Amino acid sequence: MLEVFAGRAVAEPVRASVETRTLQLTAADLADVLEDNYDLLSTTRRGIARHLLAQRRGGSATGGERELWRRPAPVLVTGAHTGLVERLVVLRQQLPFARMQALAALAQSASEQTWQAGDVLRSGGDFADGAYVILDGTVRVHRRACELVMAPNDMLGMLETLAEQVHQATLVAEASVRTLRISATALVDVMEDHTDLALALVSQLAGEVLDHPGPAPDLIN
Amino acid sequence: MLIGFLAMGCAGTLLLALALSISPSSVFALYVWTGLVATLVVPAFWTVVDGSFGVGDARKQFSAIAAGGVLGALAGSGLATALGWLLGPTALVWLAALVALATTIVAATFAPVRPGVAPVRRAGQVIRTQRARSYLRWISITAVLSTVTLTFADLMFKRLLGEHVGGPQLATAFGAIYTGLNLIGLVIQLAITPRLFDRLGVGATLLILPLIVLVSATGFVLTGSLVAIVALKLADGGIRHSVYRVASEILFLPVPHALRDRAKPLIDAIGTRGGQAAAAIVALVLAGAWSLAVVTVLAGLGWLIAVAITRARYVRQFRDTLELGDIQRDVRMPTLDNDAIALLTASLSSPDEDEARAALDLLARRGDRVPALVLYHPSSAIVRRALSLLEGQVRVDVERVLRHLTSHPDPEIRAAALAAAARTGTHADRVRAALADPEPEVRAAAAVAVMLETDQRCAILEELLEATAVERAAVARAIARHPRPMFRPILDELVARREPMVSREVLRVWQRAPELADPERLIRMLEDPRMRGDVRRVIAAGGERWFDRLLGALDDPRTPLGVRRHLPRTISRFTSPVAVTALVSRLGREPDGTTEFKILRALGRMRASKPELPVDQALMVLYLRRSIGDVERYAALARGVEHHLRGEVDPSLQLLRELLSEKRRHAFERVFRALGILYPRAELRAVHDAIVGEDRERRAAAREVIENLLPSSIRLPLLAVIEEPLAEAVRHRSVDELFVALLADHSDAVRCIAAHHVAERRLIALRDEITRLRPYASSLVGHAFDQAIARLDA
Repeated sequence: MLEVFAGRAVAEPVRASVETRTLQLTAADLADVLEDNYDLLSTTRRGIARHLLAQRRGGSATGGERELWRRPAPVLVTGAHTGLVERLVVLRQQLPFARMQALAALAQSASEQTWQAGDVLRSGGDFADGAYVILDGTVRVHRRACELVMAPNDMLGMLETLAEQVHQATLVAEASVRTLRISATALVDVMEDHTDLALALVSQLAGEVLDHPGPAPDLIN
Repeated sequence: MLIGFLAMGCAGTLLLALALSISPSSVFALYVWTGLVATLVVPAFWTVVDGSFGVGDARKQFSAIAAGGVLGALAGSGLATALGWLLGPTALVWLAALVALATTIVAATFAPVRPGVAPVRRAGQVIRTQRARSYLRWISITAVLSTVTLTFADLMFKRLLGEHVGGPQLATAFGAIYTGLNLIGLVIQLAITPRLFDRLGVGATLLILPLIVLVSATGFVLTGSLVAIVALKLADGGIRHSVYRVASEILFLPVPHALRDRAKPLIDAIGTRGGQAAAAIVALVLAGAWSLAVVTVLAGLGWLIAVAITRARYVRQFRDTLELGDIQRDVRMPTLDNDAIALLTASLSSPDEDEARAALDLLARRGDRVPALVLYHPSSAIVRRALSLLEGQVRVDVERVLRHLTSHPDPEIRAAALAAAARTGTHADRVRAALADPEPEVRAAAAVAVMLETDQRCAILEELLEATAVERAAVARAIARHPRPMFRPILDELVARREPMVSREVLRVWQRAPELADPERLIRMLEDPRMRGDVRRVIAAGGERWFDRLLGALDDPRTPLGVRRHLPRTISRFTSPVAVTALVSRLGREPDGTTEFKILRALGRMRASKPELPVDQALMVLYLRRSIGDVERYAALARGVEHHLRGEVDPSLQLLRELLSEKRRHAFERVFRALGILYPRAELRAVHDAIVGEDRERRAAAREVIENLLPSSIRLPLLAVIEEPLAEAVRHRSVDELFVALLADHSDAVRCIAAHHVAERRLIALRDEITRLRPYASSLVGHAFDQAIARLDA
């Protein structure tokens, strides 16, 4: 199933060891069903994101705050205030697989926030209610005994937001920081309005899971 | 195969030329031989041609190829006439053998060789092959009936000509008539055939000849007028070997080539020679031209019906190429007989929870009483479910078990048992004692049971309502077991707190008892994506009672966008003619693009699940044309950007290019979604995917489906935007003109990016245009315009 979501070939051949009956659902039909049943798509997205999060937390001290998926070299956006175009440029870098219309909808619903040095953007244990993209300044990530500094164009909290789980790390502004915030509500709304974005996110998450060895995720719970 | 037949024809003709020199009576063998060669070579030739072209190219090339045949016939008869005076008839046969040899050499040199392709077994291949075989049978029936009809018509024409023209003039008359008909055929082939395919498509073009033949023959039967026969012969001579021939060859194209190569020669042979033989046998016993006309009418009718059936299957063959799938969604429950009921009752004690639950639900649906034994089931979920079904008077054994369950270790079972006790009017003492239970679930069940009895809120209930979300959710779950009007204010209080956990429980109550829900509050809850699915289930459970409220919310400009965008999908749950009419009427006037698209999707869903739902065709066609216009407009804008801003490297310009390309694709999708609403059974999703895909064969198949499905008023503009011309002129003559168009676009994103670029490129001349558009812009676009003006003024 992960291979279908990620649009990849199956790594190993699958052979029936005894007489076996199967039900087949083609990738096109699966996409149709997911598009028409957003609850199911949400459940799938949540399940894969949680699995990926568990994988990353197990392997990384910072809980997987680093890049969620590879993207080209960043184009820094400067200026006093981000208009739609600047936000599109930023979001395009974070979500290179998303279509422009979905990005425009996200850009419209995103909010710009300014933090002073020492401000806590979010605390470990808080329910993930949104993701941040750093526009200016730096943010220190505290998790257990480990720390990491995040710079402009880094995205924080997207995976936990997609997984609908709590944050494990606390984020503190090191100096004056400007962020672009995408709330969980806005993200879910845009994904429902633009199911291509939701399907593309599922595909990316599935690809990330396949790239990291481990048992297959439980996609239902 | 073609080369082989040509070589055989060449060799046989050479032998016959030799035989004719020795014995002139061999001319009869020559006559049979030419018929045999034509029967073998012509189908083989067209088999090679069919395999060399896709259907898109075939429509353009086949006419020219077939015209070559007509030209060859004209040149051959002319050459034979001219050289016959000089060389004599036997020498002409030698000349024919030499020409056949030259043809064989040319064909061997230039005929295309199809590379061997390993067959790919795909799912559904067997079904596809069966359908292809059935389709080929209909092609052969059509071929036989067409030949029979046209042979009758030809014999009728010759018999009439023989009656009206004297013996010595007959040969000259035939020569002149057939020369004229060949010329007409050539003109039609070259000038009219390609245009006919473009305007009518292959299917409709096939109907022309049988219709003319049928009408003309009927006219002669009824009136005896020679004009009808002349018209028939003109149609036969002008159309049969041109338009009809080409269309008949194209019918073979969607058949898998392995099957086609085997079947086509046989079909051509049976269709042509077999049809002629059958018609000739019948004509032997018929008296005069009128009798021949009658059989022509009957055969023509059969031919017309066969063409209509073949036409429908032609489209079906292309759909097979698109490999359409289908998802079975219907699941029907069987009716229960006594054996089934006995089996279900036995299943109640099954350790498999799913089996026991299913049996319980099925029996409950029939109205059977819950047996006491199920209350002893090891699964607490089964016990809770069984308790929820207890209502009114219960048997003594059930009452005893119920008492026991009110002190069960599982708090959920205790709560369910208390609720059952309240519904059955038993164990009031246990209910009161449970008010002090340590578990909130149990206290809530007891408090609600007390309120049922006394019609007043007790102190425990007030305490639970003021405690945490966990307690409040427990109250909602307790009310769900007794959804009565008296609890309506409590439910409103609970949902007003906007706690997702609690709100979900309240929605479950409303789903069971929609009459308890406040419609305005319910509609506003659509804004919360976490609640949306549950809200829609409540609205669906409520039936038509809130339908007018939903429409009112969609029409009300004060409805928040976050709610408005989710109304179409909610309305689509009603799947009624009124809902369809309401959504169609709003499609063209919805100001928000996202909501418009959602209306489109909702309508598509409704028509797909119930194709018989009526839809306003005129409004949909209007919307369709507008969407086609959008495709064309965004293509023009994209061409303008490429032309005027080529070579510029700017991240936001790249965004603009992507956005325009996406807008065009999205408008294209809207076109096909609108078509899907108009033609819900046509499975146009696969056609759309094929058109935007890279596979040429699938694109051509999709185009054929469109050609055969749509009326010309829609088909022609749609095909014009599909067949995007490579070098169409740039519509916007200057950069300024391009940006004026971009600044005024419907899309906020396009306008914002355009304003950004105007400022970047310092297009001062457009400052006034931005100022003019500013008052009508949304807040987002207005902000972008203000930024641009500020930068231009700096």
